[in-house]
Amino acid sequence: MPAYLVKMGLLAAVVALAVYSLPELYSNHEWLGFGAVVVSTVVILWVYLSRKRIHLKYLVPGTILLLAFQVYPIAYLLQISFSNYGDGHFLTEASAVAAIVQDSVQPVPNAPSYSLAVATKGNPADPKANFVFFLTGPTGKIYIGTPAGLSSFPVHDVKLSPTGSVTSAPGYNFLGPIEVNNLGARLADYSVPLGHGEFIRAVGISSAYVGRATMQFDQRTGDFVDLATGVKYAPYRGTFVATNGSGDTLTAGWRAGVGFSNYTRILTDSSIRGPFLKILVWTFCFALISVVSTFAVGLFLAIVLNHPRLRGKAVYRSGLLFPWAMPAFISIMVWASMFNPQFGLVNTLFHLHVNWTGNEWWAKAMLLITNLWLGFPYMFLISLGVLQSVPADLIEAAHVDGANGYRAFRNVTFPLLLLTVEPLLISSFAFNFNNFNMIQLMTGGAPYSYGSAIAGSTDLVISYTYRLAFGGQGAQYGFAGALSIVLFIIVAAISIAGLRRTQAFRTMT
Amino acid sequence: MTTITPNAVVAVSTASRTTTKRLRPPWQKWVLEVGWRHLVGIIAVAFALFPIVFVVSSALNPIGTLNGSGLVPHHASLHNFSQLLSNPSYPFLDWMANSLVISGLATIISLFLSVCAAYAFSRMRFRARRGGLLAILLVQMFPSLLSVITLYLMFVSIGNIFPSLAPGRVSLVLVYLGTALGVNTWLMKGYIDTIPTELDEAATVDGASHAQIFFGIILRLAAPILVVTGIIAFVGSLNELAIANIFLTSGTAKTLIVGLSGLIGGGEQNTYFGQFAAGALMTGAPVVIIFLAFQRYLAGGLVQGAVKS
Repeated sequence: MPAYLVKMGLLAAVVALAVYSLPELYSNHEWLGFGAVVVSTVVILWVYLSRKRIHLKYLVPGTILLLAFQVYPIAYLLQISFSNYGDGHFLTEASAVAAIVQDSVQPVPNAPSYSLAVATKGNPADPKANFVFFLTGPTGKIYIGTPAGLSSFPVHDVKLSPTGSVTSAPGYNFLGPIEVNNLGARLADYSVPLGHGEFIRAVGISSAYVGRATMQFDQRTGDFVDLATGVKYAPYRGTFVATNGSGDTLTAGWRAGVGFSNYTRILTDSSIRGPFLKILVWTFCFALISVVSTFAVGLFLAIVLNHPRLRGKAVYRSGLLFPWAMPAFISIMVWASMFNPQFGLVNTLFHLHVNWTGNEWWAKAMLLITNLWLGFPYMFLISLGVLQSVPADLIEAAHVDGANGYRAFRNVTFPLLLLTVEPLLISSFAFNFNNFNMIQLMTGGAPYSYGSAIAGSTDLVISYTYRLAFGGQGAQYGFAGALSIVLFIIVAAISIAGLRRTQAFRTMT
Repeated sequence: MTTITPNAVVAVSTASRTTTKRLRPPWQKWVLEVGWRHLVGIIAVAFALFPIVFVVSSALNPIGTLNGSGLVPHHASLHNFSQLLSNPSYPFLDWMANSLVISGLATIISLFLSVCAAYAFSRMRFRARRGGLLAILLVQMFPSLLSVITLYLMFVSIGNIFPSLAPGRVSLVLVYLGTALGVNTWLMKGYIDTIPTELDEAATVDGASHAQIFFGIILRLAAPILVVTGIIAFVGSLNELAIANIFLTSGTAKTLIVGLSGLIGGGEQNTYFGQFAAGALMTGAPVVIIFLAFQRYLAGGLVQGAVKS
């Protein structure tokens, strides 16, 4: 009975969550989120209110989380990788057009300027209330300006300040300077059309000018014309590009599909290809050397310390386990400090003057040494376990057949060992291929010697991609997304190779 | 007869050796057979331990800078610890609490979700069972680290509508839960497969429901694998940097990895090293103790999982 109450309580919570979130999603036109909430809620109720579908009761919660936070982000990443999404391309096309028009407004020469007062029929302290402009012309004429246009207002109904701006008028409440200032962008965007492309705009909080947009958008063709120079700009992949062949573009762009250009750019853009290929080669080297070095040292130690007459085995074993037991991020930060060229322990203890962080090759050596330290105890443990489980009579049989210790190891123990650890070696390779923490915590990709501030010489593809998306140089989500997809494909290929090895292993045993 | 033959061979070979070389004194024999192994072992342990000795001594060293740190502290004091715990710009205790809560919640819920799924895959037969297992295997190949861009963008847009789900601690837990099924389901299914089905059948005969079998029998008997995968998953999420670094930007919301990397990053490596070492020790020591206590199971579980998946 209490179990039943808990179940009903949880289901009620799910329904309550849906009831709370659906109106919000609806009013924000988030149809994907809306659909996801509806479908998940219906599926949950359908599964848990029934006596049947028992297996689904155990699978549904995890699956929903998996689809929402792991599968969907991958699909979204794929979509983004075919777009120019990122800095300069966050807007929709309509907002980009509006921003370009807005940015191009210039004062009309010799046009009158006005003293400005802002008034509302509502509460002047409410920053969301509708407001109008009261404008005093150079001749003392009073106008009222709204988004509909300009009309004159009887002079004798208003009171004026010494500077000529209106301070009161029947039926209106006037905003004080602070309240006007609080309108912010609403004030800056407010324009009173005069016809012929001219309009009145506020400048500061107490005056207004007649302005005119120099960029004219043609709704029919979708092109911009610069009225000052006559240059035409046509939209191309999220940017307005000059059609006169100068290659000039307008600053505000919008989010648009760019086809495969993010992918082809990796190989065709010479400023990216060079650094990227170097990074890719280093990524493979880093992963391979890490796996081979940790396995070689781990196995060597396991063989050496797995001797029947060796005393104190447990002491050695426990000592060697510390690097494995320590959280890796702590160890990496400690090693990074020990390799500090100026103050670090490595240079002072061994009286070296090595520039571990400034020289590309020393920095790579530093990463590999640290990774060896982090990884060899695990390989040692695994190898030791396998060595101890190799049947003694197999070795004995080899000896009987005339094999010496080395040959017996080479032909009997090692193949058995490799069979067991091969999937581990492959997964260790896949892990190191994307060992983001190592690079981020140790070098941050430095030193930067490829003539680029984004591609560092110790960067792995993953840390390079991360910097493209989140570094200080401007977010390039689309391009970084394409690189992530490439990484996905490489990692999947490695993992599938690993999987096939395991299946081979299974059928063999 | 067969046991005598190898001995006989050995006897012959030693006999022939004595004719060419003089017999070695026992200490020389010891060095060649066992002694050099001690030498290798001591060098390896020294390599393994010296960073750890360095952290401990730096944490106790009252000078508190990197260039003042060495393998042996001159005077031991808890100065760095008290400095770190009272430093308002680096709220270490907040980081610790965030890490414990985020990793703890993510681990416990993840384990529960994956053991549920493992139970279904192990004990029930349904359409798409094979397909589901294969799909999980496929999905776990893609580390969520690679989709950090879209995870971030996704939670930014969710946060525009529901501010409590904007990139931050709550959404970070959700991100970690997304990987729940992928990581451990296969391993746990392998373990549950070894629990005899006779136990379930007997319980069914006694009138137990599937939920009673799951919570009463399977979950209890699977406790060892839950502990092992729990420890590994917990430390795994303590180590997560890429997503946490983007999601947790305010000082008090950071996890240990984000906070500590900020403490010695950006030119402050020297100044705050003593405090960092104190923090590293407080973070690392509990984990090291747990790992050493469970080492047999942890290492065993790793091999088993690799072979079975």
